[in-house]
Amino acid sequence: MSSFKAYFKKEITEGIRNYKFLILAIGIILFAILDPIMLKLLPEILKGQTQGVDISQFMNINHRFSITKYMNDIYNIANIVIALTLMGVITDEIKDKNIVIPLTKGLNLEGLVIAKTLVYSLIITSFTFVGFIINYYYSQILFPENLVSISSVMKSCLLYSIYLLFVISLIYLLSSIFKRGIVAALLSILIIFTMPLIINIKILSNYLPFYLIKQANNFNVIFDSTLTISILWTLTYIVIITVITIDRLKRIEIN
Amino acid sequence: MIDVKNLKKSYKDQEVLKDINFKISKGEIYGFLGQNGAGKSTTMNILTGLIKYNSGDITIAGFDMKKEYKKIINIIGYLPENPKFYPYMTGREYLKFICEIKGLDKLETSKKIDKLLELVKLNKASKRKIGGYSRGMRQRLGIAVSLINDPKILFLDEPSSALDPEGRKDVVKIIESLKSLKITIFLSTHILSDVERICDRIGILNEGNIVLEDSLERLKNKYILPVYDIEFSNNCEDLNNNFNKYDWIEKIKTNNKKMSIYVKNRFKADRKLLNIISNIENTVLSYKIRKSKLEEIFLQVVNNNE
Ligand SMILES: Nc1ncnc2c1ncn2[C@@H]1O[C@H](COP(=O)(O)OP(=O)(O)OP(=O)(O)O)[C@@H](O)[C@H]1O
Ligand SMILES: [Mg+2]
Repeated sequence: MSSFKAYFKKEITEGIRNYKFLILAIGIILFAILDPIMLKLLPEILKGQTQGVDISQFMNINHRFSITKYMNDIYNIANIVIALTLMGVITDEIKDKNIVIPLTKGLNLEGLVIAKTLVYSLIITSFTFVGFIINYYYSQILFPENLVSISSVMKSCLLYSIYLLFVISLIYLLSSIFKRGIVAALLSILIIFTMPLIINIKILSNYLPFYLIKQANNFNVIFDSTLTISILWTLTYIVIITVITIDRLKRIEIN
Repeated sequence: MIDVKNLKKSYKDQEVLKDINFKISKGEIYGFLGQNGAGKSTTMNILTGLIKYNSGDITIAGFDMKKEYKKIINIIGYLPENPKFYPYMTGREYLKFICEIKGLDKLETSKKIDKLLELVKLNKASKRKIGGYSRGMRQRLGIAVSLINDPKILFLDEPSSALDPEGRKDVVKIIESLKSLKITIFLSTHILSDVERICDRIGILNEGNIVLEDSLERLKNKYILPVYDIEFSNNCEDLNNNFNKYDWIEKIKTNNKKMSIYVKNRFKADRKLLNIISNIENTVLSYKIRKSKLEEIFLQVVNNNE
């Protein structure tokens, strides 16, 4: 418990002083503001530059379209930012041997991994909610047509957050296996982007964390039994992956 | 306090520790010598539980390494070869962080941190980021960290090796001050002059075995032929014959008014040499026993083994 507390505080200090939280905030929240503005400006830009191209699809951009654009960016860009920011959270401890002194003082590795998971889960979940809320109101101001209700967007946001928690645990697992953080980051990005392909396999689709994203993009999230089971599965994956990560770390000989 | 029996450790095919045996008693300062790559850090990491070993029995303060590691970790302190800290923390913050891991009481913590910062002379720098510390400062912070749980046994891996003479002096002073606290210290190094200053006993590690182990004084008597340096008032180059007949004298070197006598048996030399010299018709200006250097023992032992 004391290791958990010490590392919980330490991760927060590190996140602030090494600008990790700032980078995550930019990676997650920036597009919440930029996307609606871009969508607003795009037709104007295209009007001036292209003659005879059908730009009608950009002309009827509405609230729902704008929010969907942000969700896609969270999936495509925020995922990469998260992977690249978190790739060092575990590998640096080992590579830089920062963990050696704490280990000789009786550091408990469960405490360390759970602290790291919790800090970044809380941070990324809060940023995601802030991003969704900002994006919701910005989109509403710029595209007041076809309004989506805030509650349905919040439900989607919740699913996205749970999905991102899975991404965090995945990055931690891979960085406990590979010595170099960048390998772990690239591999986790690869897994993240191949999941939408695997989901086409019917039997698996409901059991993959990506199912949450698929549902979130529908704007009409109903927490029926299929979705609940899928959420439970994702949470189970997170727990299993974290247990394996701790076990991996215990086996590594650091000297 | 430390009892190691038949310790073996290999990395893949490389047998680093072949059969290590030693005992260290309470309050002793043990110097662990060996060339680069001899396995000093490996031994230290094993004794502090950081890495596993292939076989052998290790008992520290009566606790078995395999079964009672948790108890051992509470009574030892370790300064690794290259202590690494979180560079964005200040020295004080880092000490506090380690106290938190140990679960120490908050009030107790801040008093203890003040005391340790004082001991390693980092009070002024304690609010600066460790990233900006010099090598010597980091080494001293490492010593403070290793002392945080009031250890009975301290493991110091080359505490002074990477430092400039000034930094080395500081570190050696700190270690000397620990001696009075009755802490048992296991110290590895390849800087022999530091060992001569602080260690009670030394062990030399070579090719996976401890090839020599004894108190510093006895080692010097055993391994180094004492040399007597004598200065005469007149040229002494023709005096050799006065000494050649004694079998306890190994050889004689002369250079104008100076003479160096290498002896095989110090006991006899101490009793007889002055007598012989007093019978020579050449006034003696000075008479000195050259202090033997640990370095010479070290090279002699390591070379003999090769
Ligand atoms: N993790 C490891 N994997 C493989 N070989 C290793 C590992 N650590 C050390 N060795 C090897 O074990 C031997 C002993 O290394 P060790 O670091 O213990 O030596 P040392 O006496 O501390 O040397 P130095 O004076 O350079 O600090 C070396 O030959 C080294 O190459
Ligand atoms: Mg070493």
